[in-house]
Amino acid sequence: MAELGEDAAALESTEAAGPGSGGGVLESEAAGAGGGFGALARLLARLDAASSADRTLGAARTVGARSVLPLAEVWYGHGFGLGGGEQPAEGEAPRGGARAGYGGGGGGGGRVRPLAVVEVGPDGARLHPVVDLAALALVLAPVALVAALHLLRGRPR
Amino acid sequence: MVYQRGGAARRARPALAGGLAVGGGRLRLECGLRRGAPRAVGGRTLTVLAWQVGLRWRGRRGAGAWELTHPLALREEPAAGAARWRPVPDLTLLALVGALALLAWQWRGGGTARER
Repeated sequence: MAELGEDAAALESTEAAGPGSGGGVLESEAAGAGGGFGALARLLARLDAASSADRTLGAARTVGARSVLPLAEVWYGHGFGLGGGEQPAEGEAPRGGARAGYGGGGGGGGRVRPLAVVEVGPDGARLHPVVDLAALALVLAPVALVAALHLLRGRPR
Repeated sequence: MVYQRGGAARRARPALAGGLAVGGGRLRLECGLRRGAPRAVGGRTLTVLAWQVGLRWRGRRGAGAWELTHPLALREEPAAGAARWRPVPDLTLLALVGALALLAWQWRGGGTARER
């Protein structure tokens, strides 16, 4: 975990010092919005740094002399954006009573798909594959439908 | 466009990785093999070798990222003895690819049957 902390700290310092990447704009606008977007950026940076090969191997559970660990495929995505309206020109009546608008939003998601369970015992480590029957059924159902249609079309009249 | 060997330097232990940065780093594509941190479990050390692909973008008013990490092999190193690599089977993916291949084969077979 210390490793992830170092990665996140390195990423944060990179973001703060990156003049060409728009980091300055984000930082200044975050400051204008009470630091909310800065906190969001730091949170997403931590998420970004946390996802690595280490994440594919889960925590070990020990049962007797054996330990089991899940091994999974991990994917995630996230994004955020912000924007603001311009202040009306001098003499122009403000629309809707507001002189300027400011807002933003973000979102993200992820998925962990188990591939195997690692069993570590006195005789060594063994991999037990995990089969996602639901995903297979979702794909095999149309295949079976096409096969049935193919058989019906091919039948002589 | 700038090609960077080991482009994701902040990530731990890139085994064989590269990155492609476009637009002065605003859009970055990373792809390669990465090795996880060794973990001691039951007197053995386990290390994961994973394939990772990621896409990151940063704009003036926003940022985003997408990343996929797929474990390929597991390295088991006992306290005394030689290390062993074990491939991580993805039976679900194999079955899905097989089913799609079967579907394609059926589709082609149906076309030739109609031509006759």
